[in-house]
Amino acid sequence: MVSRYRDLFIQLTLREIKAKYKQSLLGYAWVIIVPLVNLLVLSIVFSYFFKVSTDSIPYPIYLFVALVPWTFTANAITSATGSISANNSLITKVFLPREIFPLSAIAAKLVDLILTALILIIFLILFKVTFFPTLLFVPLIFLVQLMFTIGISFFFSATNAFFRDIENVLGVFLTLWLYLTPIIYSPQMIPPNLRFFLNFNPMAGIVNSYRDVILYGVLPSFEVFIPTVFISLLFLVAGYWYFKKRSWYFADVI
Amino acid sequence: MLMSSNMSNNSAIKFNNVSKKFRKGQKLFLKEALVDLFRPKGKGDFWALKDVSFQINKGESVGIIGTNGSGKSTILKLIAGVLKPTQGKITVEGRISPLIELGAGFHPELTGRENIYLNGTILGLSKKEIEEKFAEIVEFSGLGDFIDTPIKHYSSGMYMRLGFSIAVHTNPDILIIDEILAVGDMAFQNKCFGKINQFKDQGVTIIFVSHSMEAVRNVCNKVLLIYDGRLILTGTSDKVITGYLESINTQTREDNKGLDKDDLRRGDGKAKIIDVRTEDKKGSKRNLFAEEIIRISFKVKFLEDATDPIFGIVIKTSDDKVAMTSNTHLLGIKTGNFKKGTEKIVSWEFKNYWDNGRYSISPAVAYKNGLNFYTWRENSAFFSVKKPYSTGSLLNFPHFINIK
Ligand SMILES: Nc1ncnc2c1ncn2[C@@H]1O[C@H](COP(=O)(O)OP(=O)(O)OP(=O)(O)O)[C@@H](O)[C@H]1O
Ligand SMILES: [Mg+2]
Repeated sequence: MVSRYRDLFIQLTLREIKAKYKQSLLGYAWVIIVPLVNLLVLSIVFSYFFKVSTDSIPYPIYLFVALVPWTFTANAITSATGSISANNSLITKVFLPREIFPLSAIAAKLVDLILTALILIIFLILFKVTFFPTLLFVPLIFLVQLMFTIGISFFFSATNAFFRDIENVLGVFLTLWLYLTPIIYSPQMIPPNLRFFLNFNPMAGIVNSYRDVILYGVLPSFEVFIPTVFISLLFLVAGYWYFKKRSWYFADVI
Repeated sequence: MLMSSNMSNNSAIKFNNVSKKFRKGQKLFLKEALVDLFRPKGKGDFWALKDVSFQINKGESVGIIGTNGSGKSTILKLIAGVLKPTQGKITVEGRISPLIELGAGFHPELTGRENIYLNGTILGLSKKEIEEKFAEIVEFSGLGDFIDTPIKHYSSGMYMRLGFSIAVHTNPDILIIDEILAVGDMAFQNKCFGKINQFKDQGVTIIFVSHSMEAVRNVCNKVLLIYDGRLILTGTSDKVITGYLESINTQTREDNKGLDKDDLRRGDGKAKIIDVRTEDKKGSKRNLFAEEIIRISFKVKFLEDATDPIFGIVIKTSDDKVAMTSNTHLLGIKTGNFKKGTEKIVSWEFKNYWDNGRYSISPAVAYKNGLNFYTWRENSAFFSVKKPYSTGSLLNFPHFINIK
């Protein structure tokens, strides 16, 4: 039983990956080009014109360390949100645990993440950033990020099966979210009386933690990391529960 | 897909008072959902199945027949577990291979080979099992070298061949087939029926939905007739198919929409309908009627001997709604035997209760079993109705209004 769905999960993920690779001329080159262009534009705008100060860290590096994980979460959510409607011919014809669709959509985005992470590593080397032992915590932070990404993807994909509006507003929502998260700016630039609200945005805690362990060689502060873990876990559990409940009616509506 | 419960008997599928409700008009956008909030509750609900109960035993081959939209596919989706019943209980035992749509999950950009792996796992095979059966699947499909071509370049028949070949190699306990063999060429269809019969011999339970009564008769020994979401007849293939054909006129309408194909002939041509006309009571030709009697007649010429044929007509409005169906079988008339070369005139006579409009006449002559047609001419004649006033409905008949 479990092995059957494991094979299916792998096949569906491979389908996403292969199809993407075959459909366009440059294929996976886009995965690298898009974030690089983003990085370039944002670096020029914010370090040159707006003069975001990042102390000793070069701004492009400061930005990229946060932009890479953010891009993964944003793309994974986008891809997962459309996954139920994209697979409607399967969902209405074959009985499968439906969570397999958003999950494989997210898994396919891991390839993109690995490619951009490699670029990030090259950048770190080029900018002569010290490699701290705290780097060992990156997988742990990533685990939290993944839980959160999956959880929120469950909410969006299940709701999108009923209301296609989600797909349409998602782009705007993600842009807003990007600006509400200290990615292109530093958390210190937020007025101290408003900083409290960052606790409700797990992506803020996640990118800050990445910066702490990669750029500063310190462990993330407890009062930031613990709420982040907690909220991410909550999203995962509640998202799964919601998705499961809704999934009984997917075939009725899509 | 493995649903096991401890059923002591040999039932494979059991429906207990199953009903399924849909909402008409899918609300895929929030705007429509908001509009819906202000509608009376329950409006727009639609019962695709109503109180359906039946049991299919292991190893049985059961057909499901009925007009378009009667609920056949809904039953199959409930069996496959894709839909959940609104009311009632469904018990299914065994591994199901749902051939509701062949090649569900195929990706057009991927090659036939890659799609075999994809679709195979979707249908419940492990990677290892597919590797073992790969050669057999390709062999059965007859696709040969095309197996490494992206399937977006396949013809619909090739697509179907691949889908069917994968599906029949999944070793199901229950095989569900929904009207899918139609696209294949004759050779491949025969191959499919051969495979289906092989499954039957192996004791696989088969649920077969088709609009081809011949195919249903070939595959199934038991048939369920669904009408408007209700199970109205169960029994041997012969009994149920004959029952179904009592409503065949209504169904053929679905197959042949549009008044423009004025001279559409069907049937095996062993009889010919020559002259379809409308007349008044006295027998003079006439195309426009007010309140008076309408007479419809056609001349039929038998090109072969015929025993007890059925003569019938379907009258339809200009928007293709059935205004009336009538045939000798419905009225219990034995028509007798006709020798080759005989010509007969069959006529109907009735009072014109219809409202203003243009009506078409489709006459037919069918075999006694009602299954096959000697001849059948869709929309072969027309007449119009013009009355002093229009009721804006199908009917317009004399009536009184009293004010006291
Ligand atoms: N998801 C759905 N939402 C709303 N209505 C639906 C849905 N699925 C089916 N229906 C309706 O339920 C009825 C039965 O549909 P179904 O597909 O079972 O018919 P069918 O007997 O298979 O017809 P056909 O011979 O054309 O294949 C139809 O009126 C159809 O419009
Ligand atoms: Mg159907």
